[in-house]
Amino acid sequence: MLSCLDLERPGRWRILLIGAVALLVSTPTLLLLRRGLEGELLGKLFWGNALESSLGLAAGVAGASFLVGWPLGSAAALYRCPARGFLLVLISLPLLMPSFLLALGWSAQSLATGFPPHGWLQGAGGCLVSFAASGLALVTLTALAAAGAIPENQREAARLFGGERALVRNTLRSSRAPAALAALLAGILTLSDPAPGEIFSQRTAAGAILESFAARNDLVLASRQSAALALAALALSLPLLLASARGHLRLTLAHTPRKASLRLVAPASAGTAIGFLCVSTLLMLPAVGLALPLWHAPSTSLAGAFEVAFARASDTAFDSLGYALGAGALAAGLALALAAAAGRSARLQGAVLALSVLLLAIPAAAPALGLAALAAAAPGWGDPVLRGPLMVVIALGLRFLPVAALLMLRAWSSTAPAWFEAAALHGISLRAFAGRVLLPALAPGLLLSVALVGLLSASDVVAVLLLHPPGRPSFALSIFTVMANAPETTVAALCLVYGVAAGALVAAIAGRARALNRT
Amino acid sequence: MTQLALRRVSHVLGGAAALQSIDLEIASGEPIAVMGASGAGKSTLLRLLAGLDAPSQGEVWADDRLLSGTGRVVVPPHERRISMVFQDLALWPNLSALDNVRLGLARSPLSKQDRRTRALAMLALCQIERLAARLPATLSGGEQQRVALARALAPAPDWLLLDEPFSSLDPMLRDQLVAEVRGLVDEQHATIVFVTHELADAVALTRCAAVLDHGHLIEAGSWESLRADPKSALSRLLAR
Repeated sequence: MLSCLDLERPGRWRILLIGAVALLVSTPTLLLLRRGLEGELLGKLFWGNALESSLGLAAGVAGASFLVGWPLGSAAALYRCPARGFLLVLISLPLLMPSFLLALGWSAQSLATGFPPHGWLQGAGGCLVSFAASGLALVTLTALAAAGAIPENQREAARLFGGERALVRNTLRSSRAPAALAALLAGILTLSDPAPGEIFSQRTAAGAILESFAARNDLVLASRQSAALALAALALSLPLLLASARGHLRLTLAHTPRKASLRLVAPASAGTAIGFLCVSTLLMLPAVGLALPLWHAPSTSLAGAFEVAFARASDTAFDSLGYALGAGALAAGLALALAAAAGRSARLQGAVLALSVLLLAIPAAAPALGLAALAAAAPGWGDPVLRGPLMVVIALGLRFLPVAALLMLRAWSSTAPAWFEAAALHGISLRAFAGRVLLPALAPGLLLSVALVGLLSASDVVAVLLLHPPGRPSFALSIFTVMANAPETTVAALCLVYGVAAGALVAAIAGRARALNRT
Repeated sequence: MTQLALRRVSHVLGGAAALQSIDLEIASGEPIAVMGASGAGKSTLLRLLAGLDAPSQGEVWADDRLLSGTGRVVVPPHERRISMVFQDLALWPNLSALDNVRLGLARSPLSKQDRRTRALAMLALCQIERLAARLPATLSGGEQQRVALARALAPAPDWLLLDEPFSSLDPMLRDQLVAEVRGLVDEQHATIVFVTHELADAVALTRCAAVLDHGHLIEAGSWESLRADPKSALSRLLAR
């Protein structure tokens, strides 16, 4: 049995625990890879140009996100500007929104503003701007975190040495590698998302997998395609894995003991504000696009659209919440175990980060299809578990575990080693210490993990589509499945109801986390 | 326990020798200061006494009871009748002052009500009873020191280890607290092992000292003997 002191000492249990969690979370993908690699891998994939198109999109998203997000995030870490917090929240929103909402919004917006139906803002261009929104948010926040970790005294030293220009140059140099890695990750993440491709009629690898499974009912082909895509994504994510293992990303997660103050330097602050405004205006366009059909609709059809939307929302609310909260709780629990096992060891933190990158890089369809294959091979008595909503929860929890793991690593590093040592000296049991001190201290991080994973799970369509029990889709999936055939006003009303519900959930959880932080 | 003893204790931290072949006996009722420059191994010695770390080599004894051997802690920290005030105080931030002290009595055979009474009595002894409901973050540095002291004294330890607890305080408050701690510890019949590099605090709070330098024990003895025959820069300073 572990004691409080064991949590601060090196021990074999740490590697064993990390290994066990790694094995647990990668088992579905390993099952799929095994199945995919059993057949002829490259000969019968039926990709067409889907993989090339996906890789091109990934490169475009990575490049665009880096070029805009790197300087913007670095500037935001140095300079104060009006409504900075609000603008940061605004540009972070695409990370929490289903990509198909952004794509739908862009599609509607481009048509409403007179772009030709087959112009650059359709097809690959439409996919690029839809994906770039979340990529941009990821890179900006990463650059902000990396540049924000530079302590005040180092900033002052740079200013004394070469003025504002030297500070900016040094800051950009510090945030370059993490921002580039985040851009790479943003590109890799696009490989597994079929939604924008479906909306803009662009054939992508993720779309091909979905088609094989859902339209052709060919689990074997879907498995083979997923395995091939997973291998491609893993190859692309190699630099990220190496960087995590070397600890470059760990620095981005580090707590800065004393936060550096932001300066109001007239041209730089104005430039930061203008950059933020441009980006957030660009990000608001899809929202406007989504709302446009409602604006033009007659009141009778508006009432009908909202009636349908509310009915869908209430029909799917129980399952949506169940999937989201279940996945959040599962991911937060596993992330807590990973953070405890990594402790304060740089090597083990690097290992957890590498595992997180690996999990993020694997296409969402891969573990979901692995679980589906497991369910297909299992005996009938396992059906209540293997073919029920629990599988959706497991698939979503494992999919978004990396998000929770990063948050919990950060939360764990905010605890002090002496807390554990004082508890050991006073003979406090681990259970009492965890209940009275440790978990309350980690509660904001845990709650945020549940909330973020819950939101991401609520917006996922891939795992839910592949694994949900008949008649029990999530709200996001029900929008995804009707969007092609339903009237525009109905789709717009559905999206609006989704946005309001997700926003209310975020606000409630953020409020609770703030209250916990205050105590 | 009437004596704590380190026998040929060496300890390696991060590949470097933090302590090298230390032999030291600490008698009950003889408060001792462990002194030396930063990195001399003072805090490491304290951690070995407390059982927070096991020595890389050598043994830690309490009378004829082996507390730690090479690479292993034989008697866990909470069974050593040792309390400690940490350099950063290690107050649990989400618990009130009273709960910090009360949770520190986790192993006590007292009933729940008696633990509360004992915790309140300790806070009163440290003159902070009125702050019982406050969280550590809302207390001043001096008040936090008193809570940490109350928590350490509550289980009535035989030994009280102080790891530079006054280093972050201003000189006036430090002098006041040092005087108060001496009174409190005498009242509780605990023996202090005080890690510091402040000579004045050490002389005020203890009767003897051990001087460390780069992990080696340079000299040990009463203040008078150190003054009479100084072997380190520190004791030469004392002799002047």
